[in-house]
Amino acid sequence: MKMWKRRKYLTVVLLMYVLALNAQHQDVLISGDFQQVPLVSFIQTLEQNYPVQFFFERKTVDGILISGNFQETPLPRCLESILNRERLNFYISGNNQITIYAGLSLKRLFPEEQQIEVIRKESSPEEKISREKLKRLQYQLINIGTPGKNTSGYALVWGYLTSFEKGQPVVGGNVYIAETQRGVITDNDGYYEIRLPLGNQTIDFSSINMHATRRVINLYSDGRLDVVLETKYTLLEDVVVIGHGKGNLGQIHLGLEEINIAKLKSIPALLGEPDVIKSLILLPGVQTVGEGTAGFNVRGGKTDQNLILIDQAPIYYPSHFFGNFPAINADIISEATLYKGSMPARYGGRISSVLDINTRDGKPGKFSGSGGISPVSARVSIDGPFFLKKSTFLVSFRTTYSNWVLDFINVPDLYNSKVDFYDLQARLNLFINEKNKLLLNAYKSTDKFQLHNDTIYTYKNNIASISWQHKINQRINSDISLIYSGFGYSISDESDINMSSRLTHDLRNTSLKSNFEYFASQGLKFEFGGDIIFYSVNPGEREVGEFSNVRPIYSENDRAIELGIFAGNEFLISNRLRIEAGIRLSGLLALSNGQEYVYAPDLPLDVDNIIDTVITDKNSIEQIYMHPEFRFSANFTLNRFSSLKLSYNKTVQYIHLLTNTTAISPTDTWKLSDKYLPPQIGHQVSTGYFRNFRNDAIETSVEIFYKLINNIKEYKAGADLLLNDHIETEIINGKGKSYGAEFSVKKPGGRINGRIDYTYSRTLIKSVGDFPEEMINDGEYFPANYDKPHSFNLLASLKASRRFIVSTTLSYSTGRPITYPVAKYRLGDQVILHYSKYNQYRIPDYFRWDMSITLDGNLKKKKPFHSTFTFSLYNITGRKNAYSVYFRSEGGNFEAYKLSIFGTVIPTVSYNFRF
Amino acid sequence: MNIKKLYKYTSLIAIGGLFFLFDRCVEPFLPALEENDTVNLLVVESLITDEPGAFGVRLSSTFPVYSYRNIVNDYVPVSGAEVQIIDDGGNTYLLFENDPGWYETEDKDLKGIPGFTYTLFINTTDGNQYESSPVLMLDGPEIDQVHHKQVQRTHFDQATAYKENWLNIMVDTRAPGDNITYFKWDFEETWEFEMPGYVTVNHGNDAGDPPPSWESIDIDAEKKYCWTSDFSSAILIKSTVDNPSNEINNFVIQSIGPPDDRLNKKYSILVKQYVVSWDMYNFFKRLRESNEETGGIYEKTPAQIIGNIQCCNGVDVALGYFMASTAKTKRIFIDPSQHSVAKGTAYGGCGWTSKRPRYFTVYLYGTFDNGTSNAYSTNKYCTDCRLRGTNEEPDFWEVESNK
Repeated sequence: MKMWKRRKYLTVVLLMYVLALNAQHQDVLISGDFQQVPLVSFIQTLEQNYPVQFFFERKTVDGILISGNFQETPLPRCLESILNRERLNFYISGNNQITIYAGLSLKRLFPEEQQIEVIRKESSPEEKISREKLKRLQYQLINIGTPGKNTSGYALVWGYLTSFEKGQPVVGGNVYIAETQRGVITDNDGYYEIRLPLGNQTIDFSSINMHATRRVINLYSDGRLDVVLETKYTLLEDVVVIGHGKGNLGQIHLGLEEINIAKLKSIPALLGEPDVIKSLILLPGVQTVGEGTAGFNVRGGKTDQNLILIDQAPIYYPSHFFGNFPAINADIISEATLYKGSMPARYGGRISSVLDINTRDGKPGKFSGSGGISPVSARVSIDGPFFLKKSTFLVSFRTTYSNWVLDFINVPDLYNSKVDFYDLQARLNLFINEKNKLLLNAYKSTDKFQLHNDTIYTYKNNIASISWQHKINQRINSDISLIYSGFGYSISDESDINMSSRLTHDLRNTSLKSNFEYFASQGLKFEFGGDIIFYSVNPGEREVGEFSNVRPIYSENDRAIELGIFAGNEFLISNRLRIEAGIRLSGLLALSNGQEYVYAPDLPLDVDNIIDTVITDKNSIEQIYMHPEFRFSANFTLNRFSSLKLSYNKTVQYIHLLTNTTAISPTDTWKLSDKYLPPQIGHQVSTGYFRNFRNDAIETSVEIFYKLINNIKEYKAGADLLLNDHIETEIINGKGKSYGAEFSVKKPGGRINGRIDYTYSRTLIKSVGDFPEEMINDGEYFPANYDKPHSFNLLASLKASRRFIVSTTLSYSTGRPITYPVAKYRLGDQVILHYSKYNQYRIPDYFRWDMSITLDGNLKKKKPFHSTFTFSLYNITGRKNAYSVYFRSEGGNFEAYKLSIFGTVIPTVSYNFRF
Repeated sequence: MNIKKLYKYTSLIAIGGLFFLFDRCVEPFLPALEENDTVNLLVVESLITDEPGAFGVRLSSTFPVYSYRNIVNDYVPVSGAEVQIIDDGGNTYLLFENDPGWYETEDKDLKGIPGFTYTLFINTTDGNQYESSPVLMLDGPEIDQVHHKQVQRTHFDQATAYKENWLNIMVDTRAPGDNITYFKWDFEETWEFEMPGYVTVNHGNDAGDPPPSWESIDIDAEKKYCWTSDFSSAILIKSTVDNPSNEINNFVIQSIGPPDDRLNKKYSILVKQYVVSWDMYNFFKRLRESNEETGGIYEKTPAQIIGNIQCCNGVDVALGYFMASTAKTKRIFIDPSQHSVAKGTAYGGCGWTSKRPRYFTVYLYGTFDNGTSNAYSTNKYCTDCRLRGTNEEPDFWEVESNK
């Protein structure tokens, strides 16, 4: 019985060895010391002790003496080490029969078969090996291929990168050859391939949040090399936001920031909630108009110019509670990447940046979960296998108990206030077969709040997507997704039966996206695809109660179809120069909503100048916009530790968030481009110099950018944007320009790690129009609301021990521009202020110091529950940072006031767990 | 351990950050405004109505924002200007400076005519020529009613909530037809008040002096009962855009509560209703947003608000407005029996003493102990109601307690 079991095990292992020739299998356990033993007797010993059978010609093995000391050495490796030296080949068949032969390798004879048989391991043999062995592997020489079978001087090494713990593919892992400074990145299945010169090579493997490892290989011919990486379980070993590891030199894109999710939990966070979006504000080139507000500005772009994707689906208001809470549970994010400079051609629709957030797959092995409790909210997520083999699920839920808390207190500002929100996210990963995978995602968030009065605000994000990942062959992957995303809000007041009304705004889009990736040799990628988005936007409606005297307002939905086709290719011009070039052809078909205002020609767009209202065919094409968008990035490797990059991007945006308040609010409305609202067009040129020091332990970079935006949306003074069916009369199409330099020093690893960034940048906008009422500041450039020339951020983390981490952040920036009064005058019995030109002054500078201490539970691996406590202090100095400065009349005089969102230090304790 | 305190601390800890989130802090702040950024602009204020009277225009000048001059009481007049109003009936009205900055027609019995278009022209002494947009005098509807309603407001004493009764004064009106109508209101309120009869009198601060005591004071009748008036000082506008039947219902124009003494005795309010164009309405709306509704996170950024006065030279702007509308008025009286708003006093800050201080000028308030003792105050305002109003009953004052 025991024997049978063993045989079966061995069979599996051997079978896999055949399927994955030359892979590094370590699981066949041959032990023994053989010194100058005839090969025949060695074979006999194995046949006696192991369920194996050898076939050979006597003359092949006669007279060969072998030596070797094996301790639980895998059989193939054992044979390899002995036979390769003797220029002998072997073949292990499915039923444990080993054929030893001289001459051509069978692999060479049936290469096709071997290439095709790339099947993922049923039970990963790596699971059997210990961590110690894994470490030792780094120092062993691994032979790949058969000697003498390759004359070209180059061979292809390919394989899968998986995680040691869960056997999951390591996506986006770096495979890097230090000597040639060449590298590739693993795809969604952890697959990589790289063409290398024959001979001795050292390959480095690394990935975010994994221990880097290396393999020393002796390359004879094409072959497979699978590598397992250990997950870094000790928290906070690296910085919050890190570059591409060694890849920061090799990475072709400029202004690319990857957010380290594990580290996120130890950044001092307001209210103890790790927030991907808030963490962006520490990055160079990312600004916010003020703390405690939603939205961020990337390199001079407005908040609506950021495309935020959750598993490919756009999310329109990714915050709870006015921006103080992230809408996405950080526990379930596998990766988040911000593209602020060069943008791959597959992205489109927004002009300033793309924040691509991917949630992680559930773990296939067992059920596990994580969660956290902070002063006002709790979150939990559970994942695990899902019925079908290799299919997994993941669900996450978060809610607040602030309402319950609010009941306990009587603070003037909180009276008659309610705050309620939740978000729910589910992901199903259906494994159909090796070549087909289905991914189902759903996300829902709802916020409901009432502040100080009877008006109830509700807003919702609903997202659902299904995506089919299909591997057409070894080199071509396809990904086709059907995505729905909706955002809507309502503002209702039912306190007075005669006045009860509900104002709603609603945005829905359904899109079909396709993306094909073709991996050419040298790890170069050719990408192409297309997407089509159907938009339906309700600009705003007002429903009224049965007894209400309020006028109901109904409006037709605005519809449009956005199209995009793209192709992008990487070129290797020389060993040192790599280029990625892409083109995206985007367009919008704005459909008519049934009526159209006609304005008098040569007069400003004004309600008074509407000369006619034309009834049109609903859904007929009102306007077509079409723009080619060029994307170009180049990386020139100067030497082993420095590179120079250059990029140019054109981006076009067809949907705009209408907002003329200081910070964006959840009650701003989205508007599609139409006849009167041309799309926003952005051009950005950036260049950067990247240099690593101390054997890549310290990464530095300088990036310079210049950006132009046409048709940036500005608004007439005091414009009314809600329930306005001739919104074009309030909008001014401006011209924006933004430029700056970003300096960055990062130390990603080590006991003390962190980053320091300084940015100098300016963002200026000018109104473009033919009439005085369309001019802001007489048509001169004025600073944008978020123009903060100097910005300095520091993030440092000290790992005092394996269980004790101290992190701190420092932020400084110039105060944002503001409009101050320059005179006062009397009208009636009231004193009125006369304001300066727009944004001519600045509020006081911003400074904040935060700190957090993370205490890890004990580090035993077998523990069912892994818990972490984080104590954080937000705004340690208690500085009352100005959000705004405003003036109020006090009996004939004016008093100026400074509003601070947070006027004290805010301590928080949060508890996070994993099981 | 004080249970209540413990409870309070526990809840404070429980709410943790949320509490702080709302604990927005507002504090006085003096921004650095450069003096040479200050502008000196002409401010025009003129309203032509169909009520008989002179056409008047007030010209004033802007003033540096950081100065402490109270420009409501002490505005900066612009004198010496040539002012005329022309209507589309071919009439030209010349206005002459009566008071510094106040220009008036000589004819004191003029009436604006609805349907006529008026234009204002101003030539200032510095050679600038200003001109208003032509303004059509609209004929507005009558006020349906001015009424009042008692409401409860929640206030806080530290963390303890308490409720107070306030009186909302509201206006109802209805515009004929379907056209959206833009209303603007002004009001003048007049109320009767009385000097306090019971006051706390201090009997001196030297050792051995008796402690302050409550005294019933006899005060001269002519100094005791008075009337005073006040004008609206907020921008009161509302359109019928939200109402399908072109009605305005329950538009609150004034809200009164403690410690105000307006409602202690009889109170009267005269509401004037105007109808303006959409442009004018927008001007007032933006003015209100820039002055009364700024500073918050989700509020519009303030901006320069220019009315309907242009400077012909094109180099300068003028502030303010020129407006024409019929004026519809309505007056109501409110008697203390009609509400239960707690009484307040305007004399809370006054101190009375029975001992005449040696070094200050003091004023006799009244007598107590049957005229044997005097009560003095160092503040004249605290001894004579005529300093706050008049003891002559206004013409319109009703004698009966309920109308």
